[in-house]
Amino acid sequence: MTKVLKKVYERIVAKVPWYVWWIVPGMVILVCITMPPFIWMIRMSFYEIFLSPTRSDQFVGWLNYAKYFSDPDVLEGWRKLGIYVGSCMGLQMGIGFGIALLVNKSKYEGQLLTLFLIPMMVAPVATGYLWRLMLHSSYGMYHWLLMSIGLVGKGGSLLSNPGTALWAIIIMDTWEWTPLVILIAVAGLKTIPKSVVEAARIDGATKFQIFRDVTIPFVSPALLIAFLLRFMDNIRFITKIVSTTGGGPADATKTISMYLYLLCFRQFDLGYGATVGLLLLIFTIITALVLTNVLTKYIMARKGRAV
Amino acid sequence: MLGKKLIKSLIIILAGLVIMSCIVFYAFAEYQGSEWKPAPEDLWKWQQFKGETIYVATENTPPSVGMLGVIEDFEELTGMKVETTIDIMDSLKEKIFLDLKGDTGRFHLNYAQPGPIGCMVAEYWVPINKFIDVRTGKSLMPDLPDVPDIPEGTILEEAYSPMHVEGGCKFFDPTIWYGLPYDTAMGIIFYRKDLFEKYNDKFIEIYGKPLEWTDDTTWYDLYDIGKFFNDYVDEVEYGLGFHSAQNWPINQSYTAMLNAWGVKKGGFAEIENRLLGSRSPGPYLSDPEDYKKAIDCVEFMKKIEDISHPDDVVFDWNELATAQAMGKIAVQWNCGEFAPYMEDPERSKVAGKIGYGVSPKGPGGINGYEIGCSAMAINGSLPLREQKKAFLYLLWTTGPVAQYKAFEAYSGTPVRRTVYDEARERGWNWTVDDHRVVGVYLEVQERQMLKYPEGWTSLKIPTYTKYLEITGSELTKYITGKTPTAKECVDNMIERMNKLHGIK
Repeated sequence: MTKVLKKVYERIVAKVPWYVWWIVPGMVILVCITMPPFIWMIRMSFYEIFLSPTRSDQFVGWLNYAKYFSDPDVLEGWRKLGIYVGSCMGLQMGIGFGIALLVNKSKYEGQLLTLFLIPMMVAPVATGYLWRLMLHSSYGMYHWLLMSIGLVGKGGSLLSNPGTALWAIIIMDTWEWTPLVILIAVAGLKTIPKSVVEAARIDGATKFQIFRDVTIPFVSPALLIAFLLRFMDNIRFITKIVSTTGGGPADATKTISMYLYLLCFRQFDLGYGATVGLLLLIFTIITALVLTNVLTKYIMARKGRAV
Repeated sequence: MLGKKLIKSLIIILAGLVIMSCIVFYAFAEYQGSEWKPAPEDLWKWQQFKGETIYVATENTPPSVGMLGVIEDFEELTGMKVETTIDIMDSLKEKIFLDLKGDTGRFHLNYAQPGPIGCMVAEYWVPINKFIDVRTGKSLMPDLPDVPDIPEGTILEEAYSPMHVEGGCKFFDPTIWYGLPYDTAMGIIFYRKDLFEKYNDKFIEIYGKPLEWTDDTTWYDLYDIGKFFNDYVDEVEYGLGFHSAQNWPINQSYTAMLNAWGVKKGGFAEIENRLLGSRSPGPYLSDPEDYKKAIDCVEFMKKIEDISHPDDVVFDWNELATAQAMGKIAVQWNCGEFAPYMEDPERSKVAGKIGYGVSPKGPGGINGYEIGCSAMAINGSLPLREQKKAFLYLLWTTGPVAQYKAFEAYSGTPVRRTVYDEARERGWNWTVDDHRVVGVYLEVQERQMLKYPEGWTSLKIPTYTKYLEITGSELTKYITGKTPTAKECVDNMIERMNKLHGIK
């Protein structure tokens, strides 16, 4: 036994850097908290779970997975999620980076940043309810403004029209989380070495060329972090949908994430819900890994050329 | 010979005395209503859990909000503390389901809304038959009191309406009571009586009939009224407010209208007892006549929605009431418990201008309506001692005093008949603490309940939450134009419902 322990120590323990041991307890706790529910969720996906105390869970094999690939709500849910995530990412990254460029090194940078960060401090569910009130057709200020400039007709709010309900939620999300992109982008802009910019200027580069070949490559790692953070959140979060439309009207805002919530916590179809949740998780992990790998390589390559 | 005659006479006299004493006895068997107090010899039963706490989960509607206002009475009587979790139906459902399925024993008492909650989890609750004789209300346990204010010789069911007991307290089994009736939100009509009076002549000129609301007013009349207000009256923006938000609200409209159109039992013809429900409801709209009526009904729903407030597809109960309170809608079909809000001059622009009526009649000759008739039920996973604590609260909160006081505090939807009797004695309307307490909708509610009991569907099936999702999704798709025809909408509902129940 002593020989075995000695071998383990020599081959594994002694080779692990000392600082790793500081995070091992935390990792163990994390694994203990996350792994059992995850394994249980996988188990649930192969069962039909009954709420009634008189019926025990029934093993159904791959039936839930087969149902998933033939469920029209699933395809529609993914389509709506694609629109939601794509639009949110595009708007938030574009507007966030644009504002960061304007704010960075401006005279009132501190004050402007503080102002822009306010929406981010509001809890997501409060944001949902706030916008629901502001868009309300009976007493909402935004609704009145939109009516005054002719963007909406008499009576119907943005949230009651299936064609505009999802866009209203995209705008809410953009209002709330663009400040996060601004904050990260400003931090990224501050990492650009002045010497590189000066060198480019001396070489006769135009402002646009400096922006394209120096600014973008150096700020890209920060933008990648912002992108990944927002991407992961947009896929998962349903707070604003729950607090405004509940998935309606006419399923217009029933993204796959919202559908998952409805399955598990409104219909209590936990077996099928576990299947939908598991496949959503797998998709999220794979997409995040692919994006991280592809974008990191691209960014590093461009940064190398910039330097 | 004389002896036999004497004996016969004595028997007849004795029988007569017994009959007379029964009549006299019943004549004096009166309810005490809000004057009821526990008998001194029973006080120890109410106070045996002094210093302890019970946890209640209930919906954020006026009856429960009103109950919060009078909870001190219970706490004073028993020495117990009551912690109430009050929430919107969807969140409440989630909390209750997680508590019961997870066996965490967090809540002693659950709001037992029949469709979204009761159908799914009734078996987790304690049958009240364990504690009381459900015929007489007498306690079966020596340390628990009787159901309050059930005079000798009367039966427990008479303290409520039979509909409340069958529809609110029982699930699938006619013998088991899973709770006692607690509230009864009921769909009635709210109309602008001032505008009805003002434009009556013009309406007669155009439609050839008076602008009024009676028990015989039909859904087609309602359409004409809505169209009239849209086309000819500037004082309101829309003639009608109609519940068509996805899932719960539109389902209430649909079920009530289906019934009005003559489709019984929510479209599940194989359900034997419409108030008890069934664990195996059978195929949906399998009767060819029901199928035709359902298509006609759904088509009419779209027609009504097309002339109603466009935000009906997102409005919840409060928001629709607010739209009328702000003067934007002439007629709405909503729960009677919003009447106090409409009549409060501090919150409503239309205080004093609202008339109330029973739900409209459909082609089936029925005034179809929906009720959220709910019981309060006890968590069966708790130990007996905790169940007894919960039982005391159940007796009090469904008793005549709490029901009356909660109604006075916040105007809810009482279930005890004595509250209606007392309101009737006071002329239905009286003022409390400068806030107008509206009882007039109670008169309409009672009439609808007693005169048109067949108007209520009370669909109870174990897959109710999925049924809500299916009907909510398909109906809103049709109403907003995503599904082109009513036939396709109904066919989609049938296909999905039958697939859900494993019927080919």
